[in-house]
Amino acid sequence: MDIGMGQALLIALAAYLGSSTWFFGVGYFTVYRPLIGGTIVGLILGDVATGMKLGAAINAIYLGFISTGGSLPSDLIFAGYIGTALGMVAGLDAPTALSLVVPLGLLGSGIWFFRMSVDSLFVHWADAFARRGSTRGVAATNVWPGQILLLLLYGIPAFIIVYYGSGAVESLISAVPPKLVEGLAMVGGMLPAIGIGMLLDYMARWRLVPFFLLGFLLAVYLQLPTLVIALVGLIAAVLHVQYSGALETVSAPDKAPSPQLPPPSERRLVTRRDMLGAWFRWLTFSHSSYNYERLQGLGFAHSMTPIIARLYKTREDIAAALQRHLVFFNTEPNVGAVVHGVTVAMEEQRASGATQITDDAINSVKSGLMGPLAGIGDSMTQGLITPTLLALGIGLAEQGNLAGPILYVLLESAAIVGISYFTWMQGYRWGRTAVERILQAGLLQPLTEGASVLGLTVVGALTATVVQLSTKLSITVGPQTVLLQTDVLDPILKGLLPLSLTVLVWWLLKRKKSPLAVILVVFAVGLTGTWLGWLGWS
Amino acid sequence: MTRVALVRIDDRLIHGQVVVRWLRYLDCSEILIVDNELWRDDFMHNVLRLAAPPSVRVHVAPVQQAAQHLQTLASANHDGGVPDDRRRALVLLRSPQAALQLFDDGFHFSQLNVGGLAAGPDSTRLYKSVSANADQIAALRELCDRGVRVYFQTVPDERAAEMSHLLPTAC
Repeated sequence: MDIGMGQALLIALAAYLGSSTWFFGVGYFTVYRPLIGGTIVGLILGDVATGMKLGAAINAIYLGFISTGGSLPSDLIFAGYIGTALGMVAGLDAPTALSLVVPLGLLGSGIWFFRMSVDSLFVHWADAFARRGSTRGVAATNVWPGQILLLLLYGIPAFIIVYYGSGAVESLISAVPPKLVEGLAMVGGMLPAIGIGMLLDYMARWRLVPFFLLGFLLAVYLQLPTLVIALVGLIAAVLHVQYSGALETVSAPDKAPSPQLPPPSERRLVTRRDMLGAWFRWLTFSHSSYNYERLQGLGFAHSMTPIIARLYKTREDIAAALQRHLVFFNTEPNVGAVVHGVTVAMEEQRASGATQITDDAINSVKSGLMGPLAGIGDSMTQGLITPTLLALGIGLAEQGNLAGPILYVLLESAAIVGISYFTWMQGYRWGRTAVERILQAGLLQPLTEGASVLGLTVVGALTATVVQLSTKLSITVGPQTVLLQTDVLDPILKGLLPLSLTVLVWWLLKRKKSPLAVILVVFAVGLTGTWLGWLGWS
Repeated sequence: MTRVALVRIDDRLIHGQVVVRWLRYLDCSEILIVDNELWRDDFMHNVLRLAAPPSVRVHVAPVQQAAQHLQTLASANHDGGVPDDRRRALVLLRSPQAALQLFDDGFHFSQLNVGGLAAGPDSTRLYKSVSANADQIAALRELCDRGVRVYFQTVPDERAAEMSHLLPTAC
């Protein structure tokens, strides 16, 4: 396939958009993911189905990807956008493309650190605007410099690699011995086991492993459609939560938390429009200028600008409020949005003359709550909801169904936006006791348990479809030749090798081997196994 | 007998890196937060307890009491007994000063992980999201002088950076 300069530019732009996380407030959970990135690249290159399938396969490798506190093991934009484009333009089959994607992801992983270091400069520009009491200046500093930087950091390499690199990849693949290409394809089929193994390491407890096997068997022996397996998983989840006692172990709250605040109807300084504006700014721009010095500090200040503009009128008061919120802040942005609601309520009280609401009081509530909520939030959004829905989307996409990426975006966005809105408004309504109300409502544990069951069932099914491994070994006894794969292994359990590989990866990770070491093992095994003629498709 | 698996300075305490990575990596079933102020704050006490995964118990203790408790544990583990590795605890602190006090009050940990310290007005960035001011660096330096290996590492699968490399004059 040839690629035009226009197409390469569009892919570069799409790679920036994917990296920027601002896209309708759900970018990190949607366009950032290779499943969606691959689909977009396919659209640009005029072959949606191929791009979607390749993106889905790539995403399977990164199914266990969880970024916490700005630590990122691999770059999903390089893997998803650039990987799909390179694979498609160079005309590689999916498994071969997958084996090139992993080094690409590692190549890009330095960009994130560079970006977080450079963004640290911009917060000082925001400090200067804050001292002058300019809410607009703070907002603009959060949006523009960081985004222009990202456009350069992702757009330029994406354009260069996609436009000039595919020829190089083509000639590279044609220059290496065919045995090696075959080996790379074998490695590509094995790599999704790493993503699934990482996810199992995070999600699976021993007592929940049966649900993983259930999904696997339903896919292998009944070939049920992914959505049907997801429904079976959902039913299993509901039954499991009802009958395992997960609902009963919920401890009754020690004491009913008493609201410290008068209800919002009696406060009335902040309008509903201000609230929505502030919430939307946070949802969209929380990570716009993410940096090591203050992480989401600038994003927090930006989100508070409509509230500050409403509550404070003198330049000194506005400056003080902006500076108050430009300090270090970091949380999981959706569950953690309860902190923002609480902060708005405190600022409102302060502006209406409550002298006990000092800078210290506001700061200690923010810095005290942001950590614990990030712990819960990361476990929920990145650890459960996202991989479960991704596994579903990848499964559908692998079958060539465009509903895969579309359904994923819709469900994921609804979940993320819903959580963010709910926690923000609860925080505003109840003040800091909202945190106790939400956590003590006793829904968290059964939800986590149920989501794990559903997730493991879907991931089990995905294992059966995306992990590929097969042996060519045969044993000759006298006149008879016994093929190990078709005559011995398949009658025992179809998909035994992919399943074993996945469990092996999980076990290695449990034994505290680093994912990178496991990747190297997979490459070594796949390449030598193919070279020796042990692995392959007979 | 509970064994201390990691002593960590992280001013965000129980957050994503701790819940999603360290607890699972080290297989900890207990978190001990050593902090004089939080110990007195019932609300934060409750929030921290609720924020941990259901299988993990959270205790908050003031420095002196924690030092005594941990010292007893350490010597019990040391004197043979039955080294039962099934229960592992993660000790969390919010500041280097508290870590130094914990050490001087009698809990002689050999390694100290520094995972997160927010930037303040007079601080310099040492490593990723770890910043420290002069007082904090002085406390880390004191710990180095007492023979503690101080290292910076946010999550388990990233390479640790030694304080002796980052601040060669410090140790």
